[in-house]
Amino acid sequence: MEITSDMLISGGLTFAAAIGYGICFNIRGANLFAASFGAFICAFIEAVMTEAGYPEIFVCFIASTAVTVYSEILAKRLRCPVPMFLIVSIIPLVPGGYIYYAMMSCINGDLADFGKRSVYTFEIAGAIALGIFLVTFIIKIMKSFKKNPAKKNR
Amino acid sequence: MNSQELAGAVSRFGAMMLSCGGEINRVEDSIARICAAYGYNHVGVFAIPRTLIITVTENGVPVTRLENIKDKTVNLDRVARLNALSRFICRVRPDADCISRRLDNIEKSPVYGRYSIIAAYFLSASAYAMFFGGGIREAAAAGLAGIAVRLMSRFSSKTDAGVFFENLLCAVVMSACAMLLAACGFAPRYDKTIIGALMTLVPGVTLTNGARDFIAGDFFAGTYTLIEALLTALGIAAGAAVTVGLLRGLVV
Repeated sequence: MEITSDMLISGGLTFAAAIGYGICFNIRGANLFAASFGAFICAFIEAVMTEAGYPEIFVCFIASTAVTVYSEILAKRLRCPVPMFLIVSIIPLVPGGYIYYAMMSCINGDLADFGKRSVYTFEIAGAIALGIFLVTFIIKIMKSFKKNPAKKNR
Repeated sequence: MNSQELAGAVSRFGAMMLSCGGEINRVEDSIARICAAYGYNHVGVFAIPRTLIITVTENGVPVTRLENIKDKTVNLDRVARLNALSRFICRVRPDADCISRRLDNIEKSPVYGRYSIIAAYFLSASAYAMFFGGGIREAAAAGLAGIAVRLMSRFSSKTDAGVFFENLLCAVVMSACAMLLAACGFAPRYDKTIIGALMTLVPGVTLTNGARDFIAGDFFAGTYTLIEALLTALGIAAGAAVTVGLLRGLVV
């Protein structure tokens, strides 16, 4: 398994796109670059794992988990809300292609293909959401463990 | 600080946070924390994406504020500043004047200019067009379509037509732009152009915030937000599908 230039290019493209996306939401300064780097990580993981032959749903789940961890760490470090980083980083996983081709088969009257692609889109959305859910739950549990000893000491 | 002042300050704080795209749970949580910092433990907060109700009770006398949020513009920098302000308030417990001065400052905090945002739409759309397999020409066409999206969304957000039709309009303009550029032979693979420009319309903020509201256990706000995202997506899909279906004949 080697890192090809294609992976870095797709990462770089999403980085550029994420900068644009971040500007639309008025993310400023270092936060903008930190958030966009999340998009780079996301697209890079996606490219590497797809190359290694993992199924797409699983790739989306892992990438979204990784990006959520990244966003939580950054939010802690830079003392900013998590969504600032998460929103921009998670966008490369949005299955834009599937949505478009599902739509096209809908207007072409190819209902079988439309159904297949729409279900697949929802599966990917579910995988992304599951990644976010998982990490957020783990962090909640960790926080609740951290708080308890402090309360006992008081 | 008395309950009148506190209710006024926190309702303004909460309304600002809701209008710039903070999650419902964050708004409710911050307000409860601020009130607790001033010793008001009996506080009721209810927030949904466009309404905020707060009741602060002092000596058995309730003070209620209701805020309606008319215009929403996503501004994550402002959410971060408000978040930092809420930490500051809990730590220092300043008086009402200080809070309102800081809120004024946050309202005046810098935003990107009109042309930077247009450039951002261009950059985003063209980079995504290439990411989804388009060439340089498709990227340039997607960038132009992205600019059309921006110009249209500024207009459509003023029409008060609701998320579905606002996004439908944007998608129609965007795909018409892509189809015309394909028809004149500039970027023949219009599917890549449209996918790239479509990514600028993806309801990323509502989706992420809706999911986070669900995790926080706020199913009502989560459902509301996710339905907004779903309507946005349906509007985009419908607009693009109709336009491509109509103009497909132009592209040979």
